[in-house]
Amino acid sequence: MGRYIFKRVVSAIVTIWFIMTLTFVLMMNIPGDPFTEDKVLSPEIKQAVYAKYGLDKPVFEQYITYMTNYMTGDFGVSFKKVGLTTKEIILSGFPYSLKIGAWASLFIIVGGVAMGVAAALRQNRLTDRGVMILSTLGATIPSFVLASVFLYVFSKQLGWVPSFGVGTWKHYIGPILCISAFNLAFLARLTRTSVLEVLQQDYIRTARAKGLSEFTVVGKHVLRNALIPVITYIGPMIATILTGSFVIEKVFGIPGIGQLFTSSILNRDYTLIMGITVFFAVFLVVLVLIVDIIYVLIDPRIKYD
Amino acid sequence: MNETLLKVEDLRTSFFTHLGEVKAIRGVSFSVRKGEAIGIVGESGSGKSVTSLSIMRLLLHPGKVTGGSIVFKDQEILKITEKEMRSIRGNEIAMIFQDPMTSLNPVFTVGNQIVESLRKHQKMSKEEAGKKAVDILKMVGIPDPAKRANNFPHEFSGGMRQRAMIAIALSCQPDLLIADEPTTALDVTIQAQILELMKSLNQKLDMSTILITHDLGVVADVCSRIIVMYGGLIMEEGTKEDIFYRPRHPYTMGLLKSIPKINNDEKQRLIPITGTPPDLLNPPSGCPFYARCKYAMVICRTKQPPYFEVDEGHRTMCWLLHPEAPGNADYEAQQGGVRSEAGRQ
Amino acid sequence: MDHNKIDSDMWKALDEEEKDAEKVARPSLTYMQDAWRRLRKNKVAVVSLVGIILIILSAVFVPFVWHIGYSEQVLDFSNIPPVLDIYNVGDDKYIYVTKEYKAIQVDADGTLLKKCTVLKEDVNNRTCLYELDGSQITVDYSLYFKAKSKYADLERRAQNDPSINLGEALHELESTKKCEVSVDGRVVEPEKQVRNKTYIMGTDYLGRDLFIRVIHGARISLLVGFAAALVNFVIGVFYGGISGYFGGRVDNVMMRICDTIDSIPTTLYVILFMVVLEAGLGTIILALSITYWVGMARIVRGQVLAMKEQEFVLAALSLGASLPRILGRHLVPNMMGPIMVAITMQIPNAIFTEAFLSFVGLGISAPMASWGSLCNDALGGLFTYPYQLFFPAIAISVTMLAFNLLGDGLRDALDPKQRK
Repeated sequence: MGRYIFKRVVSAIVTIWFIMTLTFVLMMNIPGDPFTEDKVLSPEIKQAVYAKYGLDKPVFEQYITYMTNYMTGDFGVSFKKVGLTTKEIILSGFPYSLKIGAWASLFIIVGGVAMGVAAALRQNRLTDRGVMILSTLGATIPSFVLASVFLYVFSKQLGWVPSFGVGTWKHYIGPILCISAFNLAFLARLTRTSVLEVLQQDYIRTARAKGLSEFTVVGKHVLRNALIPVITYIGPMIATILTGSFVIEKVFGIPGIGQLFTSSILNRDYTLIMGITVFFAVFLVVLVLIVDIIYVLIDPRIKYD
Repeated sequence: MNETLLKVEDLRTSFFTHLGEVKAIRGVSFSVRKGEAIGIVGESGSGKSVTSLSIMRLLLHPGKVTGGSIVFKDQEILKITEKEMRSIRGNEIAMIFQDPMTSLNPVFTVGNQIVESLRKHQKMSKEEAGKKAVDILKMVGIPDPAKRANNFPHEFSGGMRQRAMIAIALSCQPDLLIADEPTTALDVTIQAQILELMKSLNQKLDMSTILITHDLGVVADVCSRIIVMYGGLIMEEGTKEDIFYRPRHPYTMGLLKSIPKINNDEKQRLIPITGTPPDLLNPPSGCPFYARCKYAMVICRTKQPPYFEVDEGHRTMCWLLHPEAPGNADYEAQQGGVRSEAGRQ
Repeated sequence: MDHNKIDSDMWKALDEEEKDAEKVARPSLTYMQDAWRRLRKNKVAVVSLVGIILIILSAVFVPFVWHIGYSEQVLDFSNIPPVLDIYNVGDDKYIYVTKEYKAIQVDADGTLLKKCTVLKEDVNNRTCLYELDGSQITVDYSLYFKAKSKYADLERRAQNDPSINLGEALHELESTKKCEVSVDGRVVEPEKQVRNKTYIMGTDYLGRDLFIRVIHGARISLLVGFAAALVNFVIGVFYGGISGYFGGRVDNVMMRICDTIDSIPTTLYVILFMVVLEAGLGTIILALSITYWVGMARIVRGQVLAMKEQEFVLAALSLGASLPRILGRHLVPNMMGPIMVAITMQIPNAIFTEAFLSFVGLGISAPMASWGSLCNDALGGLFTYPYQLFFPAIAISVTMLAFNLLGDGLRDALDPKQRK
């Protein structure tokens, strides 16, 4: 068991390294540099600026500096927002994305599993059809469409929620709902399929033959098996949601990480792009690692090698 | 003394599929006495498994019992509530299934699955149940039972798994054990062990057993009475000796002929029964076996035969036993069952 | 008749043919025929398929026959909705007043004619004066403006004074007339509502025809969708085919690479990719292909692994068939089922990603119109001109829905055991 965890951790570290390198390579190839849009700088000043940010050194040296800095938690200084370190910027935006993401994750997991189980238990009846239709819609209608329509209907027409920013709790309803839509739909379908499959299994027949109540059969025997594939999906999903959706944050005007990322790209703010990418990737890899470990804990059939 | 434990009368079960009503069982009657071991033999689609599921009321949608009665210990179980039925399942009537690998929940230990049954029906504490579980595992012949109770099903070998299934079934000392093809998924040598175990349990615990299988050889050792089913109906019923040495139904005779025999010196071909089972969506109005029967007559296709009594406790559903039926030399030659001469087609 | 007595000829032996009489023969179909039959029965899938064909046909043919180009701008006619409330100014002449208080002359059934000549724009008094064929038209929006400032004031005061009922005040604001139109001094009300005949879906902020832009968006989306799916198909089949066919170490290494690619947050990298390369249609297709082929490769590899063991491959090998021949002639036709499903599901993914990129500003560039960029353009004026969002949103939702439902139907038809 320990060996398995060790192997997975090593694999996670390798992946993170790979991602950081890939990002660096992409970064070096972005046309233009952070200062092309600024007022025309005289060559000496440009030289000084480059030297300050280390942009005049050979690529490989920059790479080493970059990697070592990151290891020590130094994400560099923002090119555009002068005076702020990348870390500070990320940490200022993260709480908003986190808040939305955390509530959304909760909503998705509880709602999705509940809907999926209900649909599976009432297969082909009204509940099932309803859940399937909702989940098809939620999974196919693009998030920006959903967000825009939501904004129009609930903010303009009904006036229930404000349209922009992060003032009160009401500001969060829209983003949370819209960011949840796709994953909720997907999770509901996934749970439903999984539960249906487990219900067909022989061991469920055995459980019933033992005279157990339907509640025990479903709640204990079915769920424990059906949720296994669901957990593998939830891990990466949480990472994606917690780090904010570019679209949702744009539509609802949330100053979170997603929006920081898109604006840093449009501004060619290298260090910020790098910082956010690495931040996000690390998050993802760590969550996948946690899920892998949980998976091994809950499914005794997995061999740890 | 040997009172009747289970009495099934004119049981009818159908599956209401989108293609129509599939009549899986069309009027089955038999009884099981206390401590008796009977075997139900038939090929796939004969209705033997559906019979057992009907008794346990474990039929899943779209199956439904459409008629008849099932009386267990003087109680009409087709009429009791689901809650009352649940206290009978696993407790007074237990069932084991064909494939022990898929029939045991892979994420719980074997001990846990036994304890679950005990705690549900007998209100034991966790420790008591745990101890009892180990005892039962020992009784079914699993070595090192205390350790094994904490193992998961995939850590058991095939034969051990089936023993574990039997242990779960026996945990609450049921009066009746239904075993649906318990050895089909096992190796031949393991088969023998499991059958031996079942026989000894039947005798030791005085527990009635219904053994369901497609293999006549399997019931030869364990069961004292045998029921042969085909096309949703009972073709022949009698003691072990009746069936093996005095068969009267052409289907039974065909089954006997297709069993490979070890102790025969001559080189012999296995003679299968040609043809396929009837379509139960539109069951034939006559005898279900008519299309594959060597001795079929016009009446066999149009009218379902009644049961004719061959002997005390031995009956068969076949027009050949009607007094007016013409004699058939070949048919009579097969009436010795496994003792009759083989080979003649 | 005594039904217990049995007819003597009932005892005759049964002929063989009579025994078989009740067997119903089913015609045997090939796998594809059987799957097609099952698909046809699935009404939802059939409707989706028809819908997709209609969309493709419109995307291809409509731009050729439509009288307006997708990048034609008519600034006078910017932000005109598809449904107009028009005022009768006498002599069978009508005008429409935009939300920006411009007066446009329209004819009785909704064709836009021209912008009325501006006489004076009085910003202080909040009025505009127009002239149309001798009549003087005044658009007075001062009333609404006053009401709006009154409400804003109330809102400010409400923060400290909870007794103020904002809801009621808002309602009052909403019911105030937005502008008052008078012709030669006489106040008029809108006479009727007509459909905009010149621009059936209205115009955007640059006066471009939304309808043809939505159609153009369909072209872009479908092009990207099919092209990306095709590229992924080709890469995936090759990669998966080789990996599955050779198995062993080759397979291990190749699958490891796939795993690593999977662990990269794809959306992120698609975005980065778009930034690194020049924005454009080809780039988008390329960006969509860097990671999405992995799914296809996995499916193909799984199929190849399973079928490799089957006897018909052995038979082909023993007859001297070469690898490409085995792949092409034996394996691929048998894998078509899951592959077709995968392709059908990839198309909406590609369409969504392209729309998403365009929405964020990283996709196609102006003046090209993609459904995503149309939604993005509409976002700024969402509350005032909702129709600008409405049409592209419906277009993309319906298209993606159709592909998804078709994909589901295909999956059910091609492998009924896999019923969800």
